[in-house]
Amino acid sequence: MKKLLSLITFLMVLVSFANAQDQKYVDPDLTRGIHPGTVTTLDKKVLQGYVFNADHVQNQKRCIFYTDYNDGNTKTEYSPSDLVGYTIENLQYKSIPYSGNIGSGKGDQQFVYVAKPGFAINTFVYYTPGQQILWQKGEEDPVSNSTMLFNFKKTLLNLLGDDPDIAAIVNDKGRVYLMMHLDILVDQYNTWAQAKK
Amino acid sequence: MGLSAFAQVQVVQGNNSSQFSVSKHADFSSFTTDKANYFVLKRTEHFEKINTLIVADKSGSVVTNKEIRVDMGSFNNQRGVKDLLVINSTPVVFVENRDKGAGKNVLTAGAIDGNGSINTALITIGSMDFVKMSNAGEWYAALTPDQKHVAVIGKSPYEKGSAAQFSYFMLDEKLQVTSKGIFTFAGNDKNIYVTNFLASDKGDLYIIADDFDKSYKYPTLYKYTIGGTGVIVPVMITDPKLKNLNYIARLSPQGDLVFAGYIQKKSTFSAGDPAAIGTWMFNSSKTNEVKTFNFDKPITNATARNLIYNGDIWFLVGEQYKADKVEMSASGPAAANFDETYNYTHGDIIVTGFTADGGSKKFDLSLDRQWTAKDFDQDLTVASGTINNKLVVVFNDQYGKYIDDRYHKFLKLPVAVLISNAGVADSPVIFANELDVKVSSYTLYPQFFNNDSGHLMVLSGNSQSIKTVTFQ
Repeated sequence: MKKLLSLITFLMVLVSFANAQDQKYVDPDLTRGIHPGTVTTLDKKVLQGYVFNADHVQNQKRCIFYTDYNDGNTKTEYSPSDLVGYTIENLQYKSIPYSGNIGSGKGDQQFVYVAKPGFAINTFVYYTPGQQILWQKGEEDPVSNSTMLFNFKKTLLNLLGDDPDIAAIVNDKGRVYLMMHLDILVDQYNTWAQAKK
Repeated sequence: MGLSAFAQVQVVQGNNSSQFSVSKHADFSSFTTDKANYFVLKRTEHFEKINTLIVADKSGSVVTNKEIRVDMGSFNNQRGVKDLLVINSTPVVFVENRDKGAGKNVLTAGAIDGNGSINTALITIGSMDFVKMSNAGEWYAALTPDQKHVAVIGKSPYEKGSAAQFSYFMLDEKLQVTSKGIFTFAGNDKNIYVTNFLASDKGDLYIIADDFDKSYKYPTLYKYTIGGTGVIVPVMITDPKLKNLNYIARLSPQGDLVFAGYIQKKSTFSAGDPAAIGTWMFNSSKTNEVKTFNFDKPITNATARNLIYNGDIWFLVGEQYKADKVEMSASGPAAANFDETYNYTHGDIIVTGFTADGGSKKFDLSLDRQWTAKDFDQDLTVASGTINNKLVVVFNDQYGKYIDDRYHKFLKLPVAVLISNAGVADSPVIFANELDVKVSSYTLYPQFFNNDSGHLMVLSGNSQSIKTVTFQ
């Protein structure tokens, strides 16, 4: 019984932490269908063509690419392990390892929507179909609520601590403040990184 | 990126911008330098004038898109953006501060950096004394054609029964005042309601105000030359049966002000849409000469959009345009919460060529087109400029006029038409494949364009992003 109560309490804490961020990003707004787009192959070649836009969730699982949208024979279906990423019009998807807010260990490769490109850190939205937000600095492992669960400050310092001003804020402020201001801190970090270049 | 291989006009697309959507009912100005093209979209929201600055590099990539806003202050200490100009490749915002306590209306200016942030160290340009917030004077700024100087004028708070008085400040590239003074116009004993302000490289300040002859509006030019005196020129059509319908004004390479527009017949009773029966032209170098020229047949709702000089010919570009306000069902305070809505009609594009001196007309031509829209029509106007000294007009036309495809008949198809100095229009160049019209979510917005020698850069957009389309 005690074990069950502990498990329920742990899950409640986990869920509340997962929902701690009320930051919402504007959802992609593009009609379902074929649109101009590109795919970036693993050897970094960018192929121009056309990509099928399905919906927020399906776009994470596969990319359907045509070199000629009038010719079905030019169709190629890519999985997240086949590509670095793809674009449909102004929408960008990048293949990164992620298994959701309550996942553990290294996640499966997914095409995740780049909600806010940054100079150093990109902000992603993963759809469940609800929004889950994650960040990736360069090609490092992405940071999400699940990775911040047990090592919150250490994880944030790894992500943002190169900037001494932000490192001081992370060390001084509490978890609630930092979660509420994470978007601003990421912007500040990107500005700092760009200026430092 | 796409290039039409065999056409005389080719098109190149820029990259997608970061998140951005174009607001409806936006006014527009543009600047071109060696480094970049600048688009300034102006709108008013809840009494705040908001300028959106879009900067595209010469490859067409949007490098900045940012709303330029300032803290509006309080009721008795108001701040607001008066204008945004690009001085020698630096965007500069002009900010007015009306402080009732100090009794001063102060104009300051600040450079905008690459991230769209205003330099906090604003430079004071000038100030005016005032008593009432509602009569605190007005500031106007104009960039000279060499793009290295700015002329600023301040119209002092108006006192009933007196003549309007102006102060002027000439600024260099670093926004330092190089000369200043005050001026009035001999013979004027009333207020001047400024509708436009331009300045030449030679130090001529051109203030345009609209006056009325019964219900017909005509421009009056108030010209002040620094170091000289003020001159008033009513730009009226001599024939009492003819009146101005609408017009547009531009500086000539010589620094004179040139007006061109459409004329209508004066009548005591009018019904239906106004019809232009011809064009008129005026050059400030010949102050007593407003030339008029007749069309072969009247054109309803003719509206002047651009006046372009290619070194040989002045081209007046207009379109048949009508905006009908939609009556709101809400009334009283509730109505204030709704934006005004319009039904738009955009018809034929009209081009008239005039000789360099404006003394005679070379040609009229019209390009057939018909669109209607509700509330948003930035995609239905016409962009114009010169490519290799030829006039080019760019607009969205109906797909079905050019390509037999019943399913896509009413798609908007970007089209470019080159027009020679003799008024000969080449066959329209269509960009169905280059711009992927059938599958692209982007629509060309010809209201927002920027012309330098050889390139006409036009914005296009979808619901979340913009990019440039360069016709060359």
